[in-house]
Amino acid sequence: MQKNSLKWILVLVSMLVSCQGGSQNDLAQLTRDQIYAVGNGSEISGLDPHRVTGVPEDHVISTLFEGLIGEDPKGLGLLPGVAQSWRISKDGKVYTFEFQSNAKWSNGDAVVPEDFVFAWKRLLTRDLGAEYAYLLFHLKNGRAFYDGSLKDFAQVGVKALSPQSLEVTLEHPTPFFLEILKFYPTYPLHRGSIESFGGPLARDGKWTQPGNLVSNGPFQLAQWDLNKVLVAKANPHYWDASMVRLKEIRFYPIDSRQTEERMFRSGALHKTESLPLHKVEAYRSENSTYLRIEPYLGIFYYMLNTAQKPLNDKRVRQALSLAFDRKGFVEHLLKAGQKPADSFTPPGIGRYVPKTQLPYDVDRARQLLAEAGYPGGKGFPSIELLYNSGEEHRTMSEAVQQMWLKNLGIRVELVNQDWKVYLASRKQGKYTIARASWIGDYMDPGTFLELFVKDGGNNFTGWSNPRYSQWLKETEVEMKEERRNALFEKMEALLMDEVPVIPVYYYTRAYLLRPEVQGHDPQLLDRHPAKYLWLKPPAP
Amino acid sequence: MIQWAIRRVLQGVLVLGFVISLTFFLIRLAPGGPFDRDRNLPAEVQEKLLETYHLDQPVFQQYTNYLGRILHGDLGPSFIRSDRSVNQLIEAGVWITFELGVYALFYAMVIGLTLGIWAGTHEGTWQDRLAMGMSLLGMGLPSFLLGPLLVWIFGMKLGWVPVSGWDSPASKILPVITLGSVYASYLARLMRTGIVETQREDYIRTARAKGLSEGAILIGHTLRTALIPVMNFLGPAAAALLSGSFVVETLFQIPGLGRFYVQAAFNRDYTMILGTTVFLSVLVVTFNMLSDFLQMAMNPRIRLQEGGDLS
Repeated sequence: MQKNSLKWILVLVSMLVSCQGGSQNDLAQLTRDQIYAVGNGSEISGLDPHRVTGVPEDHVISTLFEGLIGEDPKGLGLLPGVAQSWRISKDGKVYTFEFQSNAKWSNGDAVVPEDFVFAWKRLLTRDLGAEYAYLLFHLKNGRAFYDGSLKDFAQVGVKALSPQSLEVTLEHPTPFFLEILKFYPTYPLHRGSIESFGGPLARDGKWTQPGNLVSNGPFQLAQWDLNKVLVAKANPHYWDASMVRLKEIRFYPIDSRQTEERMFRSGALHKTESLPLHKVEAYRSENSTYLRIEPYLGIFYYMLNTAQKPLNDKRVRQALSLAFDRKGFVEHLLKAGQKPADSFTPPGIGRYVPKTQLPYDVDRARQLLAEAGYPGGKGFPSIELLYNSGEEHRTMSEAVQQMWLKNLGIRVELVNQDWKVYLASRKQGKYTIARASWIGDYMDPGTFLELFVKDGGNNFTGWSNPRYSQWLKETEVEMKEERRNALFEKMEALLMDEVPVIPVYYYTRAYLLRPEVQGHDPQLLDRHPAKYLWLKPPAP
Repeated sequence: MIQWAIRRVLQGVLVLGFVISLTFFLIRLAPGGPFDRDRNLPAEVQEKLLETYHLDQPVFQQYTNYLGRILHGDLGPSFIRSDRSVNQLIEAGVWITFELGVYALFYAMVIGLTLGIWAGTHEGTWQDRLAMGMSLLGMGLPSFLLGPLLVWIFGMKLGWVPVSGWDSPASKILPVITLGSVYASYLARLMRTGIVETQREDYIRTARAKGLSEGAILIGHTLRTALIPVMNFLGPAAAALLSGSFVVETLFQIPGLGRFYVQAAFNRDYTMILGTTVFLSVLVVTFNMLSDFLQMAMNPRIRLQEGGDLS
């Protein structure tokens, strides 16, 4: 009887092993076949470059489409995209782009300047409800066309000069305009396919489905199973197809970072989108060759509601910042290679080097608090620190609570809210101190410093300063880099002195990457153009 | 009987109406809207988005419009997945959730009933204690703990099964066990109690006195009565298995409906939350109704009682 049972168990186990799926442990085969399997965070909300926002969408869309300017894999400058060259007029307002002679769509049609005119008109059409429409408000009459005060699109600053050249005219010289053109909402669209699936304003997205989507990037859409996988295959019509070595990319939408890490360890992925913070230390102590920690163009900070007592007193805000031990916070709590912040704009953007310092000086902080009428924290009202639900936010908030109690003798109450509730509270000014972060869209200090302009849509601090706003306006038209950077430095210094925000650390990106993946260099914006990636099978 | 059935269906429709209305107003009361982002949109873009999805209309008008639409089977466009309708999204996920639920239910029944019968027929012995100990363990281990534990042992250490996905037969084993174990444990306990109680009934004693074998008594008499509480539990359990697999779907990267549901809730995707709620409510109400009908068919006592009430 026992022998029989054992036999049955063995049969069952061998069946189990024999029916094991081929999707998990065949990474070596995928590598040999140049098929790149990558975790991509949440499921993308769509593939229409005008109707989506978000990082996972950026990863997929920038693989399928290409704009006028290409992304440098090392993030060092501007590379040709659909445009092989460009000229900028002396006043910095007129850009002329010459197209690649063999730029083609995935169905073989030529990519022409009209494709950009069509796409940009669509992005600026108010009825589409595109969230990124404002990116083209830099175009001459862009905003006027969007808000309906101008009906004739021919008067908007984009026109096809010839089948090979496009002219773009701006409202003001905008020094970061070429950086914007690397961003997917400004990519061209294939007019014919969009019109054959209901026209530019149809909301059913039929044109973005596999088999229907016509794109102009190094890859084309082959398969898209919601919450399962999106497959992009090399586009043979791409103008620079000889440069593309990957044959296929599989984007896996994985909500849970733990699941993603398990998938990586079991050999299902070449790269994870992220790594749970508590796992970083373990990988580091093992000296894992998979662990990557790279600088990222983002800042973690606390925003202060300067309209509320006692934070309406600059000395109190300065005291809070001076009593913040950023180095300890980063080294003992986060432990993932983050750098303590000395400015709001992270370093590494071109030649702009923020010169501000944010020292940890408890004595000075206590002195300032006493000057503000709260010696040793006496009489200081209990204030709230708002944070959204998230793996590490509670731990970080508790550390801040302890730090200010110990250094300044003030009590902070922690308030936790779900993401959307937290956003609403911040927007309505229903907070005293709130955790926050900001990720740059493009390599320009303005993408950070413009936040604090008076009535800015993302300025929830209640702080503004006419000099600051004036300097920002000047940066928008100043074409000389040195003078422009000097303006940013002045803005940065004023911001750090007035302390509507307490910058804490510059972000890093921690993720896992197989050594087989080549051409994947650290990049501040974390964009790794797939056209330069390839897989090197390990030596036998 | 027919009157009872009609009354039961009407009750179901009322419950559905209540659930839809409550959900509709509750999600609108929750702070934060579908288009609130970390970075705020320009006012004119925000206005246009609200207009596009009719969120600029008075709430009561939105409510009546929505009711009108769902009567035609149209659950509306998803606010977040702008190029798909809620109907399309439900269709994309439901069959996988359904498959997972059916396998888990089957697993729960096979394991649960076997354990229950084994324990019930060996009341007070070590077999009983072992089976009930296992069931207690199954009930006590939540799926977010059991899942990773199974993955660690069978996926990572032994490498027998994939750690995620829903493709090959092997990839389905761990999710099914993770989802079905709690229900298997409940079923084992219900089955055991049913058997123990039934075996003390007079008619079982009579059957024994007539010289019937234990096997014949179990199949012919005990199980029939002992299965009634199990049947009662199966309706809600089936509905819960089909709708409540979110944790397992997330743990194992399964593209089912549960993941859409939770993504929608976090994103305030009103139409998607409502659509999935409507869909799942219909399922729960239907399964409960089926369970009632089944119970009535199996148990003459309930049939008489209900009939008596109505006559």
